[in-house]
Amino acid sequence: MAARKKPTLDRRRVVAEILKQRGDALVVVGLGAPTWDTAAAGDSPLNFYTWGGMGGAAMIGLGLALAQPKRRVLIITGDGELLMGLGSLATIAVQRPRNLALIVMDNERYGETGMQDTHTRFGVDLAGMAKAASFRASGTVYSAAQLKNWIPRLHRQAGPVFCDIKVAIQPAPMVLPARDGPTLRNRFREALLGAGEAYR
Amino acid sequence: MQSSGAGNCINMLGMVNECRVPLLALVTMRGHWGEFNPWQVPMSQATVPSLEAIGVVVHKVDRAAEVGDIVAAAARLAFNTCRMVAVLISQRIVGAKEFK
Repeated sequence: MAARKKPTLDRRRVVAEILKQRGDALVVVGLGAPTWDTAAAGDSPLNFYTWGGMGGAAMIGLGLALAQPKRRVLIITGDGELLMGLGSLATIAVQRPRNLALIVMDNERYGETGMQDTHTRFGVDLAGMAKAASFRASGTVYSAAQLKNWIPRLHRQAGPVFCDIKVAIQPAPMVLPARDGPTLRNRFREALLGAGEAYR
Repeated sequence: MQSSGAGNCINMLGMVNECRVPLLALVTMRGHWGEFNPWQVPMSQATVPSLEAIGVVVHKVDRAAEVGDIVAAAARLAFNTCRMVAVLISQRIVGAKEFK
């Protein structure tokens, strides 16, 4: 397993930097801290926050990427959430969506249940798994310089792209977006498809 | 585990049931007492029926003072009779998760 370094990046800044350049990308967000981070970066109806269904964010993103091949789809989730659905890496790699980037905010902890260590804390290498599954690009980011290099790739490189971003454990204040499921679904569909199509 | 995680276990519990493996599960409930997150409610409602449907004996505990007795009884039942037993610990005991 990979040598371990201490994660130092500030998760709020990382997500804000990535989303600054999102354009009209569709963003699927894993439950917990990635949801608070994404809401803190600025709410958008094109953000689909999952408040439950742990382990499912990557597959929701894959479905969306296949259904909307002209739109960039970003999945922003946590290490614990992805670890609960690791088979997603193989499924995405086989489908090979060119428009999909899977971004993991990896603090090596289960933040929402009391900061218990996840497997990445012991060196499990998610980017290595994505690479082995045959994602077109895969890497791990520890520094601001690496992040700067990766941001354009997240938005433009032919996918599937995987990026594990190691972030510090310092908690940030909760920023809560809408949580009612039908509200999140309807506003997302309306922003993507227009009101005429969204409610048919 | 948490009640939402219980939902992820159902198929594997079929194996445990078939092989009569003693199993004691301590499940803290989400999605009822004072819950804030609506996404937790469906699995909360489904926890008892889905555990029972796959063959788990379910004990519920609503008061902190009773946790010890009920867990001890559940452990005896599980290991003496080779059954799956879950103790569902109310969100009233552990406290609703704070979203702030």
